[in-house]
Amino acid sequence: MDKLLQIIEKIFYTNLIGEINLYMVFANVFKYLFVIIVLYFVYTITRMIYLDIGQLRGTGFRRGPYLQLITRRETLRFHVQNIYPLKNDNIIGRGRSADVQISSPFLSKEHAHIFKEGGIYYLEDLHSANGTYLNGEPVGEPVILYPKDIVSLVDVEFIFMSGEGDG
Amino acid sequence: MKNNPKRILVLLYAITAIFLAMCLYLVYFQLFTAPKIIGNPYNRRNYVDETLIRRGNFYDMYGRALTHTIDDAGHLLDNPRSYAHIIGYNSEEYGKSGMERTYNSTLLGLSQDDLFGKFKDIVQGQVGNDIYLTVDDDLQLYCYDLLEGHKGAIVVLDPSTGAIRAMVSRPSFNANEINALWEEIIEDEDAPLLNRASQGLYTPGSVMKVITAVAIMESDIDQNYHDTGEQTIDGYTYFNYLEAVHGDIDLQDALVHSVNTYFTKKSTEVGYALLREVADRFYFNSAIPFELVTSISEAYTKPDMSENEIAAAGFGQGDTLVTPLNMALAIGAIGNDGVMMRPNILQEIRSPRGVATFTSVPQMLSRVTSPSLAARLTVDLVETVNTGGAATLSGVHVAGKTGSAENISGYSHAWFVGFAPAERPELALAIVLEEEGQTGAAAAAPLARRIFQYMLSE
Amino acid sequence: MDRFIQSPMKQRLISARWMTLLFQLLSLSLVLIYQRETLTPRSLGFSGLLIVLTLLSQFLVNLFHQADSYLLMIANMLFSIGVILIYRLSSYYGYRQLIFYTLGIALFFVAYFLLEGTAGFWVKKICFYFFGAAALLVLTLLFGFVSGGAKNWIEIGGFSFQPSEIAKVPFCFLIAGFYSNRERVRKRKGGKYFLMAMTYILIALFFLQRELGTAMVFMAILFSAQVAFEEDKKLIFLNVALAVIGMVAAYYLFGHIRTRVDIWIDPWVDMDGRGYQITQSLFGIAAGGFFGTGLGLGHPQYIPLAYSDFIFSAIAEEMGTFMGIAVIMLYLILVYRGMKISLAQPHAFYKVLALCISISFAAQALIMIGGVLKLIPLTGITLPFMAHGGSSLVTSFVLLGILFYCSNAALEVPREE
Repeated sequence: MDKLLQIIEKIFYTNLIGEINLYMVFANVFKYLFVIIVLYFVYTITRMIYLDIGQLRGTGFRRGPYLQLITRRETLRFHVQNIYPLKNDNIIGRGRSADVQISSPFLSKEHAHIFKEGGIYYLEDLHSANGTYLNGEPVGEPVILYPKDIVSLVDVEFIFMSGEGDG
Repeated sequence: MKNNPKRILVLLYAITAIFLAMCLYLVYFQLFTAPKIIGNPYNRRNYVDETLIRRGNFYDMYGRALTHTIDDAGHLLDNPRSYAHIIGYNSEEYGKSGMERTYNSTLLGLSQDDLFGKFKDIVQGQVGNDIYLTVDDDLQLYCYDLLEGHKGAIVVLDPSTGAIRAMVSRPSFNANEINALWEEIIEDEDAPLLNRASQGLYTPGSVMKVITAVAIMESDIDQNYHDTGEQTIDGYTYFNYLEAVHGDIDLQDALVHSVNTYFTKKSTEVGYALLREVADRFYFNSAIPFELVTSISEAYTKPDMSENEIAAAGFGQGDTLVTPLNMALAIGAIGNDGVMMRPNILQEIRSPRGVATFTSVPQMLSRVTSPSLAARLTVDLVETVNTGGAATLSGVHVAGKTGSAENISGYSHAWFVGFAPAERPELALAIVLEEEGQTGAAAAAPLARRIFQYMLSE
Repeated sequence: MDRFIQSPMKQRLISARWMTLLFQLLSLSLVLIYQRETLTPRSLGFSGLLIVLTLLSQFLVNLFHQADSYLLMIANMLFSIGVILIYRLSSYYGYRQLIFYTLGIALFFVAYFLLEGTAGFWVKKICFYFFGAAALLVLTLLFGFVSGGAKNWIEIGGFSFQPSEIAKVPFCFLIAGFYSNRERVRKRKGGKYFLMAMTYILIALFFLQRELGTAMVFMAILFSAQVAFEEDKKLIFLNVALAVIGMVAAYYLFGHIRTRVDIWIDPWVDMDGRGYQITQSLFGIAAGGFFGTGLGLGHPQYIPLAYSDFIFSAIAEEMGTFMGIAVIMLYLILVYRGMKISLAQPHAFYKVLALCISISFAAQALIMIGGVLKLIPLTGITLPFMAHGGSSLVTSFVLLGILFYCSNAALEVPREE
């Protein structure tokens, strides 16, 4: 390590002009860089925050429809997300292949179905063991799903959000 | 709980405002405050540059060198003890004192409000400015030797300009060896670091009678007095030195024989108001503007002084405290037609190339009394010296006053203040021998005589 | 799950992350050379660990899609600036700071998962927090040893930590619990004074330990929480009044407070003694100019405690006033972010919690920077994420982790208040 020390001293600390050595040059150049870097960092984040604000005013980051969890997560024994974005065709259930996969023991492997047809979203129950409820009413055949409808699957409840404006 | 987002937003805006204000303050600080504090001698960053800068040197009024450069950077005092209080020490660990401190930036050639200039200077190798003092090197060394074996101070100045010709304080210390001797110096009970000449506060004793005399003359009281050797005021009795009795005397007699009883009685007749006003004119109770640190003398400080306190103050006892510098200025003012000049020890600043970038100009500080009263008092003071005999000098009229100040140590301070030649004074001085135990006439006046002789006789 | 973050935003997120890395690389290359005498495999390990931990933590944090990854990014940048200066001053303190950082990052995630896993539990336990905080403080009174003139450290098995720092965590929970359980509190007699009473007791304990800075931070948190959430406006005024009376009384009662105020008003009269710290700090800041002297070219070592209490001054000296402004801005966006989280969080408990944590960062930064600039008296507070100090750093990261959790739960619709 001593050898390394010597090399470093030689390269960086020998005087080039007057009392100035290479280290001084680097340090003086870098000090401008540091300021630029950190201020740019601040600028970048500020812009991101600014963009966020517009969306925070609404309900969220999402575009497009999604299911938002209502039930308190701490009451549930299993992992559940807050948000499940919805595609045009979504199977909800316990099964691994479900689009909206929820590991509740009360759910059937394929429990419910939300799909879009003709621009309208529908909810149907897939002959689940414990049933699907829309705003408290049992669901069998496909029914129209309106924004802010409450979808209950035994012990989990969601609110259906269309994802446009404050919807 | 109230869920009002507006309130949170208010908090947010407030916090944002404070943060932004701090940013602005940082900028302000860098632009305006920073340049002012950078040159502060406590800023050790300046020291680093010092090894690259050739520090300016000190010279006396005749251009004789008082310090010499070492190692192409710093300097050492030629007479480190004699000038220890004027030039002072310069230490990386303990800071600076005296002129080294007051004029640090000048000596380093530091341009205070130009950081880029500073950097450029370092690269190019800076040389500092030289400082020319008003001091006369011969006189300074002479006075320093005169004080050997005593504690105290001597201040010699030119009363017509206020220029300090010599300023000595003992005990002193070796300013060149400050680092090695610091502990010792700090622990020395006699406080060698103290510049007794400008900062030492002493009971003046009889030398204060000069100022009281001015007040007596300016008032319209009867200046005659019948002395019985004692004077009682409010139950307290004052005596003269050696309990002498002088009979019928006037002001001049009182000064010549230093009659305590006279001054106690007349002070109470003059009254606090005038006494205080006259004292203030002599720059007691005020900070004297000076390049070195000064203490403020105290005379007639309390408006509600009792008769006895006034009486005691009248002959320089009581709570009165003065600095030797103040007394030198005071007596000099009498010699200078009643005008006290601003003291200064810096004569000139010269750039490394020898160009004078600053030359001091004499400034009037205060008018202590009218020229005619000053002239009258001068006559009295010449008579005082002649009668006393200790400070007389053949061929030169010396005006002055001795004093022996009682103080708590039990050993009186020996004082002498005076100027010469009386007609057109070239020098005014104040000498105090601390806790000398002898009278001013016995101990201090002879020193004054020697100084006058050294400087004024060919 | 799809990534629902917009592309341009994502790109900005990436480029911001690289800024920290770039800063680290450049500054490390300088300090390693500067500290060439202590150049050992250890110092290379130090550098590597710093870079790796930063990148790793930011990568992990990005996996939590709904949560606010900016928080950790800002903290990492702040930390990097700080640790570089600390290492420049002393490789020993640099190493220690990095170890604390490792612990901090770990606890950041632990805090998050702990909260997630036990979400409902915290909401109800008010008394728990109070006694937790009080217990910590009493412990210091009993076992404390004098360090830097304030009895606020506890030593256990060779490691010293500051309970007053850690007490911030239960305190924030205390306030959150109080304001989210309004009805329960209101039912009890005098319930609404409960929070203020508890806070004042805590502050009194701080005063006894001469921890003025922390007392001020706690007061700031209480005051802000009141402004944001207190229904009864009278209580806010009461708090302000008590605070003012308290401060005036403290000034007259405590000599050491008078000393600090005296030094603040004019430190120049006693530059050898009491005024030494603040004047040296000002010299350092003045010496830096706008862009600094350059890393390793200034003299921050002349500033006492440059690695902890006066880290900001050291940064201002070597990296300049503009960097100082950048640091202030970093704290600003951190606090801004935190308060936005509070705004967006519908669940009462976490809303209050987020606010308290944000305020705690804001207060610490403001009081600390204000102190070294001589805008307010010095208080011995540390700058979160930057100053050397295990308790401070770890507590800051724990609080950040909690805040992080609050941002993740941002879209829960509350069932009850």
